[in-house]
Amino acid sequence: MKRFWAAAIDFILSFMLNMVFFCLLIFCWKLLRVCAGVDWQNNVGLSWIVLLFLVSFFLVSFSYSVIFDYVFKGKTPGKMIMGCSVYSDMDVRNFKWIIKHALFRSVASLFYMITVLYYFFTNEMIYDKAIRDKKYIGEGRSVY
Amino acid sequence: MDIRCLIRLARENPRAGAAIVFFSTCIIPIVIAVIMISVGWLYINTTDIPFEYLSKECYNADEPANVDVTSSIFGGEGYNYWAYIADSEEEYCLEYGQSGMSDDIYRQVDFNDYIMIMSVNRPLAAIRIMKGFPVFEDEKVSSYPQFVFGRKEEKNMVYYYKIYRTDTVYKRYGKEVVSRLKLFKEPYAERNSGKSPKPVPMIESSGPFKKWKWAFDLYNSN
Repeated sequence: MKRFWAAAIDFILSFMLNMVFFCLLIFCWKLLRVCAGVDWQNNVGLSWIVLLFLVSFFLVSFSYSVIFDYVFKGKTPGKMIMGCSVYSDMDVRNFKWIIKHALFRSVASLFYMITVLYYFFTNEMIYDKAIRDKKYIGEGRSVY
Repeated sequence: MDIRCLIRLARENPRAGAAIVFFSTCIIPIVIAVIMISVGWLYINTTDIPFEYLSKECYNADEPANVDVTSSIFGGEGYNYWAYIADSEEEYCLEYGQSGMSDDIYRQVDFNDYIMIMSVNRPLAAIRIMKGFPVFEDEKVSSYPQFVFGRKEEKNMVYYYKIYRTDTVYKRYGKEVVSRLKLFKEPYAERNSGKSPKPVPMIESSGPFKKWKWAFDLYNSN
């Protein structure tokens, strides 16, 4: 279950970062509207705010994954706390793999309920499996 | 099921423990996201209105009161600062001018182009309207105001302001309605009936998040 708790910690951290990032985005958007003089003229629809939240969440999750894969060689805070190592050195040296992993991880984080249910049934994170199956240089090494 | 049973189950079976934790907390990110989105939406659709300070005068408690200006309309029970809106000269003279407010400051206001605001006990720090929630009464549209009060308090002092009636765009059933600014105000007779929404007055907050505080206050008050 180490892999599950590591992913949970990383999800919570990236979600908290997203809250800060989303506030900054909204603040900047408001500032731009005021500076451009359109603040009086129209309202922003709720769907735009929902979209902004999703985009912000995706961006934060993607950056989080890329930074920790690239700079810390795949050692995210969650994995460091739980003391588990998931990916091989070959994987985290390849930038293409890092981007692919970040994309899969970000999408899986958006649909976190499905990701967790998948884990409970297979004992593996869906994005770990997706990357390994694609054979994107290096074999994914799962340690539970 | 007893909580101790759950803990024992989690200890004996880590997978079951993880499942319990997950299913009992899985809704939290969605709740947080909904709150963030709602507050962000309120924040971005709320517009600061420029207002002009006119003067301040002590409230004259000896004059007969048509309106009880010692209690709030745009305020709430327990608050000692509030604001009133006067849309026309007649309204001001009839209700507020004869209730202890200034007899002459209103002459500085051209009510065709301006709305007069009187705040009691505290000066105003900001006035905001929520364009996302226009109030349609018959064919007329008005904006729901939020008053943010300064920290300085002077007892029995009335501060006078005027706001320009800017052309404001609202949406109704997908159509854009352009109207000169009109602030929604609770009819005096209905102020205690609970029929109209009562905006919560807010004190000016400080620090980098002061622009946000009102939105959280508002969200919490609804």
